[in-house]
Amino acid sequence: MKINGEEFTAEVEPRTLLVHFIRENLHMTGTHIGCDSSSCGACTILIDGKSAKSCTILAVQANGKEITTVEGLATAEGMHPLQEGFKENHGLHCGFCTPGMMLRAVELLEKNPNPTEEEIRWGISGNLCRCTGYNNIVKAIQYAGAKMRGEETPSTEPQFVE
Amino acid sequence: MGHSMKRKEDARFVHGKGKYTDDVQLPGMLYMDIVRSPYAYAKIKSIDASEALAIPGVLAVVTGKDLEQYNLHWMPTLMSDTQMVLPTDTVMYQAQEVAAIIATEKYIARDAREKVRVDYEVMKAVVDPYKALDEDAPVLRTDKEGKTDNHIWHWEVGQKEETEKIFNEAEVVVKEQMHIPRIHVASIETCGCVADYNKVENHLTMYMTTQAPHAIRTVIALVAGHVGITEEKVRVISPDIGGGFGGKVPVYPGYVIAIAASFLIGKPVKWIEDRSENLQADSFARDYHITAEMAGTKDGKILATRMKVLADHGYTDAAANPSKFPTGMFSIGTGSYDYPNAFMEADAVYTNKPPGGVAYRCSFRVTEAVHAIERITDRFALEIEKDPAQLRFDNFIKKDQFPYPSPTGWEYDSGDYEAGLKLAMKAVEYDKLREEQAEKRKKGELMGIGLSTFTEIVGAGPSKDFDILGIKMFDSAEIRVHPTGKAIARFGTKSQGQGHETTYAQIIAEELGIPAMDIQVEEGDTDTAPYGLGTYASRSTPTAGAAAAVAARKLRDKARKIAAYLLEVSEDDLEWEPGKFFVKGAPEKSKTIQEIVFASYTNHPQGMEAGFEATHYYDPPNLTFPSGAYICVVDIDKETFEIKVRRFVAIDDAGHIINPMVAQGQVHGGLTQGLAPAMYEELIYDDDGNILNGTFMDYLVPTAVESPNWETGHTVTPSPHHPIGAKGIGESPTVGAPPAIANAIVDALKPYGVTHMDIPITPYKIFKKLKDMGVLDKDIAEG
Amino acid sequence: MEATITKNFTLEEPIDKVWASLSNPMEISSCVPGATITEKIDDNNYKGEVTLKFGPVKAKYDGVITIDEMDDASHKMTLKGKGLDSKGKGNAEMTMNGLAKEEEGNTNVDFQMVVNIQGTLAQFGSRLINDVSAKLMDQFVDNFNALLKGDEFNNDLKAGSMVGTAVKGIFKKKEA
Repeated sequence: MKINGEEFTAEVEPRTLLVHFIRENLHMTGTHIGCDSSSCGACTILIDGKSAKSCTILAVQANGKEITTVEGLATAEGMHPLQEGFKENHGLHCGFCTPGMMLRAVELLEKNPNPTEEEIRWGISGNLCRCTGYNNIVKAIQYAGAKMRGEETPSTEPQFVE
Repeated sequence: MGHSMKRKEDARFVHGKGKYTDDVQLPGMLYMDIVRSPYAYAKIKSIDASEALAIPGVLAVVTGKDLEQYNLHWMPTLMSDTQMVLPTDTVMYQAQEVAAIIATEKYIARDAREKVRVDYEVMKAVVDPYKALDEDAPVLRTDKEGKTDNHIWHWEVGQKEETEKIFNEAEVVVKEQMHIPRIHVASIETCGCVADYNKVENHLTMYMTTQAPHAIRTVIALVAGHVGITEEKVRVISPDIGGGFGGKVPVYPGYVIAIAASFLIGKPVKWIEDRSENLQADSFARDYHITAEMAGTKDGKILATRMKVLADHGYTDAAANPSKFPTGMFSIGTGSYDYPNAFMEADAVYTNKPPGGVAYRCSFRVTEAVHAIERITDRFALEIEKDPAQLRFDNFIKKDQFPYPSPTGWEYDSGDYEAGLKLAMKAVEYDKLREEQAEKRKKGELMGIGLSTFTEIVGAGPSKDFDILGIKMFDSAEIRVHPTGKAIARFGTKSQGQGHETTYAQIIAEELGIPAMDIQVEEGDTDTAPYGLGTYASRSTPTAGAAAAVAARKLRDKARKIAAYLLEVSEDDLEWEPGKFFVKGAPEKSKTIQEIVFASYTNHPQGMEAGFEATHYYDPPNLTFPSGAYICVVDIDKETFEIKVRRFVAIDDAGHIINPMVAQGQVHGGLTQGLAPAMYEELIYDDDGNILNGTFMDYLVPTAVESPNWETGHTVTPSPHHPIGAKGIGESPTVGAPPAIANAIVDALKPYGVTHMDIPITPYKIFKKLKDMGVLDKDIAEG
Repeated sequence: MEATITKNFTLEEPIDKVWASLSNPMEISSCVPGATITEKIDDNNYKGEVTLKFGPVKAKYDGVITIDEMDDASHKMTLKGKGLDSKGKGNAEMTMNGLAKEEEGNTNVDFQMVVNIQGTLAQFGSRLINDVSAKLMDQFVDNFNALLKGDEFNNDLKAGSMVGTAVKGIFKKKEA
């Protein structure tokens, strides 16, 4: 399989989960494990561009596929707009759900480059965050969307009721 | 200060370079998995590990009997109770640890888990805390000599007789029975550790998910000192933590077993629990049954309150409270209102459920207290048909009454409750909402407006009253400024996402004039950081934040001396502006802090200690009392009873705010964690003690869809005793949101005659309530 | 967690034939989905295995079946089963009362089964037990019919369909 542009070949036990293969065989620990029932989305990666929960996929099922993990988001030019969006908008606290959340958002913005708030909320509803209350994750994805569309990015200053 | 600086820690997190406990990989590392009890209450007749041990790669199966040889099968809890590490004869709750497997691979350990044969004699579990007090209830803690019932302790505070007299004579008395559900912090990262014992050096390095690394080191030394693991031989490293919320304060049996296994085998042992283990066995939060009563006058003056609690602690009291406070800060339950008499009492019981009672994003039982007072206040308003906002204005402690002595013995430091509620009402356009509601009620539509105007009590705490296992609840900061003017600061607290690396740097920057970007903040390594009690109960800013400010001020005093020496003037002739000292009247004659620091290493005055370092252990003179005014608007579908939170405005007063963006982020997150128990989350047990929702498939953590767009703001009433006037913000929203939501829902259901509903309030619960009341088909349209 | 399942069905066979099979532990057990008798201890006690699946959790119980009552005259029977999950997830107890009655040349059979499941399976099973058990009972009746007719059948656990039916059952209830 190809991970973040690099070819990997390995022999694994048939029952090895993809998330364990990525974390323990390849030592890429940015993909996290938050549950064992594909409920939380902390292990979300991209397989051939589609977001998938790597805790419920066998490593062998990814044979020959192209995989992107959080480690493959940034390029030589710098951060991916989503990474920038999360960082600039306080879209993360503990950072544990963040890689999965960003990779899910990659596909979301690919399919729907200018989503409404509601579309974003439904779009990330398979990914749990316990820290942020989601407000700023929505904001981060809106920011990244604007940037990817080549538009002016919205203000990253917090808004308060006055 | 007051600047929304972007967080310094985020770069590593968005690149997937955070370092969490499960990311630790050591050469030769072994894996531990745990066999757990399928029953809530059973005798262990035998454990047969032979089949498991026959699996290649399985090195050991550790049982309670093995630990008993080293007297490690029981450990103390923070509340001076005892907890099993591994049982030798009886299991007390479903999913309790029974044996541990040590294997060369994770999958092998899991395979072996199913091959350990445990023969149980199942007993009838005690699940209901009220029934636990029945005379014929079986005594659960037979390990305690002379124990004849399941009662743990009784606690009371306040003016019992005066309160009773007021209640007997009052014009209006309202009363509701409430349950604050058993819930779980459910941080997305579960708990775990890597115990690395080095036999040659008799040294243990413990990587673990803990919010209180220093206290844990002491506990390890207390538990395992007798086998040679003494405190100087223990290094606890708490790397990045994927959310804590109080659930990573306790010492779980898994940690101790991993240490024991590494000690016996001499290799590193990793234990990472899975989600169902986390939900089913780790400490729960809340589970208070409260009878709340309020007495007042017909025109709406609160005269007294009375609260009686039954606390279900599971099989041991492993709550995470300061030692002298079995109910934590529950006695804050007189709230934001001015009345002289209150009485509160609580009894705790053992049941066949997991232990806990952690301060889940809450300063030790404040959430329970706030729910009770805010709910019963609304109940009172309903009884006398007064607007709940007006009732609150009529009873608030006034701004000029601070410092305010509460009837339960606290001294509130400062507050301006009216200002907060006014701002919240303006933001939601309260009067318009009430008009809209009146219109809707004519049509029979269900709309509710709920308020919560709460007072928190955080920053534990002053050493005269506050300790954990005898260790006073100070916290610490150590600042070292390098010759080139860059600094490292270390703390006894431990961030789990709160952004300490940024906010602490901002405090020091404010006090010392070194840019926050030049200050590296480190926490969580007991070998390097000064001793502190850790991060929970909103105590970091009130204690370690204060320590940072005081340590920085010590350095500024030293800087003044050096500047005077360099500028050849008297110290009194110098004036400070952030970043430099200058001579009064001659601002061109100045020395920047960087020049001064450099001089402290290269050209310091004779007789002065070289270098530029300071440490401070801050013992707060009082707690801080943040407050909030929250308003929630809900619409409920009349057919399906689906509840939609239309708006939620949260105005917080946490005193001076260090970083508004980070503070707001804390509020957003806390609000969703307040929404969760109000409408979704509860750990449910059946009559046999089986947990019915022990996975993320059915323990419903709110997603982005359930969570509304939170609207937040703040008023600023500084704490008069805190060095920078800050109060702490992380937990107010979790504490204040549930009653606002519950009050809104009950308000929406007013046409049916509903006066109270227990959280979590679900569509089904509403349906059932109305059905039980016989009003399901009532025509509620007023028009 | 306790569930009571009742089933009443009529077979187009004479009562003597039905009772002969019903009262023969080896034959009747071959009709129980997921069950196998592995050993006869004595006339009234048998060792066996039962596999159950509730949603994501599968349990295999090793147990003993005891014939408490087998009255050939009144066609009444009481069976007791006690099992322990082979992977340590808990135990199960079952009491089954059966009564066969002649009805115009056919045979009416009345079953009442009380199942008590303790342990981990109860966590997942409580919401599914009634639906799953009812489905198991249906499958048992089909198998038993086939046995009497001499048709071929197998008593494999139709796990997928069981869960599917259980889920459908839940939704059906909501609609009602």
